[in-house]
Amino acid sequence: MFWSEASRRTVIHRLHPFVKMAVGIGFTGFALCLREPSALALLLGFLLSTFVMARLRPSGRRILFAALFLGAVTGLNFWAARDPSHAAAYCLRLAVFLLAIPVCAGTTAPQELTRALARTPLPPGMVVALMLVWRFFPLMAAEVQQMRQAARLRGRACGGALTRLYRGLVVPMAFCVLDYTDRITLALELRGFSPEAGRTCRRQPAAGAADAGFLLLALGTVLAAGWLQWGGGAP
Amino acid sequence: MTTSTWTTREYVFAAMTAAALLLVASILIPFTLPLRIPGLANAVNGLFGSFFLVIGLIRLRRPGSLILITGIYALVCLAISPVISGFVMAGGILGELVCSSLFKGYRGTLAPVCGAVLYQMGMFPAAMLLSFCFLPERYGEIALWVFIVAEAAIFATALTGSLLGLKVARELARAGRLRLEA
Amino acid sequence: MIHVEDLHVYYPDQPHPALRGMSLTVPPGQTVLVSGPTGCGKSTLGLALCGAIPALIAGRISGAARVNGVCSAERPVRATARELGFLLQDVAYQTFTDRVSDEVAFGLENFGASETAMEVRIAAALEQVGAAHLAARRLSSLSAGERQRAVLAALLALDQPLLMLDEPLAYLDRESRRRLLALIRRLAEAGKGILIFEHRRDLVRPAAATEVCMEEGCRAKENADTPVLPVFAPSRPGPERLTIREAAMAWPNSVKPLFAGVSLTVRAAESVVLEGENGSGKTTLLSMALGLLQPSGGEITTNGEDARRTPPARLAREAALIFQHPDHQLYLSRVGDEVRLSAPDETTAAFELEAMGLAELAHRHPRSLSMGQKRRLTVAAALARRPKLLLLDEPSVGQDDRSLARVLRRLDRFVREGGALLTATHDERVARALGHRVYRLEDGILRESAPYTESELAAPAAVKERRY
Repeated sequence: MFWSEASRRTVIHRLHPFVKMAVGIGFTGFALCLREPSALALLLGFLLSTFVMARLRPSGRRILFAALFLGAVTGLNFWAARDPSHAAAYCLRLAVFLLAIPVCAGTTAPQELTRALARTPLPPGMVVALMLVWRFFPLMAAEVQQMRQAARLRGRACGGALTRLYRGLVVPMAFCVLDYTDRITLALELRGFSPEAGRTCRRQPAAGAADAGFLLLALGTVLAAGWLQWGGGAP
Repeated sequence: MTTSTWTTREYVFAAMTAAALLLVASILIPFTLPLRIPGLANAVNGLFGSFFLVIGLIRLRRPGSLILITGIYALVCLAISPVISGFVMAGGILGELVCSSLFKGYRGTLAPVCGAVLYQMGMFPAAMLLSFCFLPERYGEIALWVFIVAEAAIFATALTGSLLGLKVARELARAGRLRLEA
Repeated sequence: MIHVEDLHVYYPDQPHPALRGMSLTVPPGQTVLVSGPTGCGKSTLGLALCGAIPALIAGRISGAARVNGVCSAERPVRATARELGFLLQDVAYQTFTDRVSDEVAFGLENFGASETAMEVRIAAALEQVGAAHLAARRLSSLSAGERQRAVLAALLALDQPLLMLDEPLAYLDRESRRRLLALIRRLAEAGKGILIFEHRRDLVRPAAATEVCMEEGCRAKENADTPVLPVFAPSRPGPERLTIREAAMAWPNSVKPLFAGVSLTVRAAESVVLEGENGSGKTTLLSMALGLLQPSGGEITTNGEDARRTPPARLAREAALIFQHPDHQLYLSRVGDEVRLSAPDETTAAFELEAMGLAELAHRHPRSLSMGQKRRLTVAAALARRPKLLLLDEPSVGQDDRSLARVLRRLDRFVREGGALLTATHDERVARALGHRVYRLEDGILRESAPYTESELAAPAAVKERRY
């Protein structure tokens, strides 16, 4: 996954993947409608609390990158509009977007997500394809890292920057996609996978009281943010 | 698209192409977003994204291939952001509709290039439309010429990426890894 | 029962068949070893038996490859998979989930097993391979041997009566190999028919009832002798080419450092071997030597330059690093061009191609080569640059004995001509051949170990000196 997971499963990890996804999607969509910094800050506060409860530990480099990114965006916004409230709202909205991702992605194992998706009318092939993307994305990223290392060793002796990019990264990645396809297809079929046949599912996630509680809290936050934006709290 | 249409290999290939698209986007997009130039992210992503899409479409060939690849990609993006998922699907549907009705699939070289370019070009208006729905006064201000220039830039990079994809497809064929039609 | 009779396999655009009249039988409760050099058709036989040729891989078959009486070519691979389990060489591509028990469940889910039956079979399969304690572990946290056991459990959970294992020892150290061979014996005793494709026949032969030697797509007339790889005498070392002092490495977010206090020197005309399990940090150490990774502590001097402050491309002018997976280092579209790009002149390029047995393949696309050939190509390209220091990661993977001997001979010549060589490997044959000095990286600590003795290498099979 893109986010480093907590070392042990917290209550956030145990929530139904669709509940977490709904909150992530809902907050992202709602943040697009808000312009009041205090309302956006409230959404951000909820997401931050979830983030802390899930014991997600982003690396220092990632925090630094996010801070620089948000700082640059805020600075550019302020420079363009000369309106601190507008710049703050833009920055907070982006922060909501960034934090809404790990609510689901950082606390849900690919296997859990695919198990939840197995209950939907999606074809089994589609569900397994999704699982394959999550499973092999890090492997592919590691391969790209090695390609870049090989390119660093070659230096400028092997042509200009474009040639090196093309021959050293683009072409190997295309071969990599085909290699993965051949190997994974064979391995999947050897494990009895058929895109047409139905599959059973071990430990399919089911929604419970904790999910209802989490949804209610999220809904409460959304209502409060809405009140700050359009109700008596708005200037 | 019916359940029995696609083989295991086609699902896997579509998944790997989607993984490559995700990888390219995750490397390139963070560098373009802070600049806040309309269409820049799409234009930069279009170069490499259409490269992989063309190879994917050449390999899959059948009608619905673009929807299969972008559908898997959109599902992955759903866990990241529904907005991204929305415009990925919009681009995929546009490209698929045009290519399925005009070319009946992705045989030859024109249809895959057309599909990849339309996908990239379709994403930007969809993203603008989605943004306009949420922030009408802000996005309503963007002049038409900005939109046209951005689309032209996306067209140029997506076409370049697609042609590069065709070139690499020939190399893949030479290495015995991809079967090209005469 | 596996039954192969007069099997011919033809790949498209290939002038000769990959298999020519191959026949063999694997009865229940017996282990059959299929040995032979790279490219002799072992993998093709496996792919034909599981039905991958022609269902997934283009090819034409004549003759019969039957699994329990049914011709594999006449049904999908997944249907044959209900009766025949196939453990592929690289298990990384054979795992689809992130935890061991989920991985074992994956096949059962595909076969529509109920949840209750699944739990029973998962527990039994993990118990069978001695991996019950790994059930909740992440696959990414397992060693190569543990991961292979997990995948084998995933196959055993499906309760197929027949098993095929393709080069199962390739990535394993001695202890993992011993465990695997013991498991194979137990499975055969339990009534499974097992077919093993392995070029390291000396290791597998004691566990197998029958051996079939293959040569150029068919059964060899007589089983070849067990080959022994050459051992090279140390020469007098010259000046230091690589000096690592108190190097440490810790990954971000990792509680435990990968290694610490590692010190090592490699001199001109000296060959040093670095042993260790997968994930012990061997590759990281090699990458640090060429500035691709920064150590979290310590000093590294490569050919007199500080590796922490010198760009990798500059270090790479007089040093070369050959990755474990050769694909990333292949750059051009012809084998010959790949070597010529690095070589100072045409004669050097021709010499290196010849030395690695690639001269006849000079016009081929590098990506169309087998894994072993690709690896030899990266060695040829690296040596063509005439580096002072060569860093080599797992040179034996994908090489049959004959090809490996070829590589080792060329490396010995490189060292005798004054080159400094540091080889990371888990293969004791390579350690024995090249290890003027042998180090072992284990639990984050580097220790010098005694060079291999004859008796260590002879176990379990007797080793005889032979011609090459």
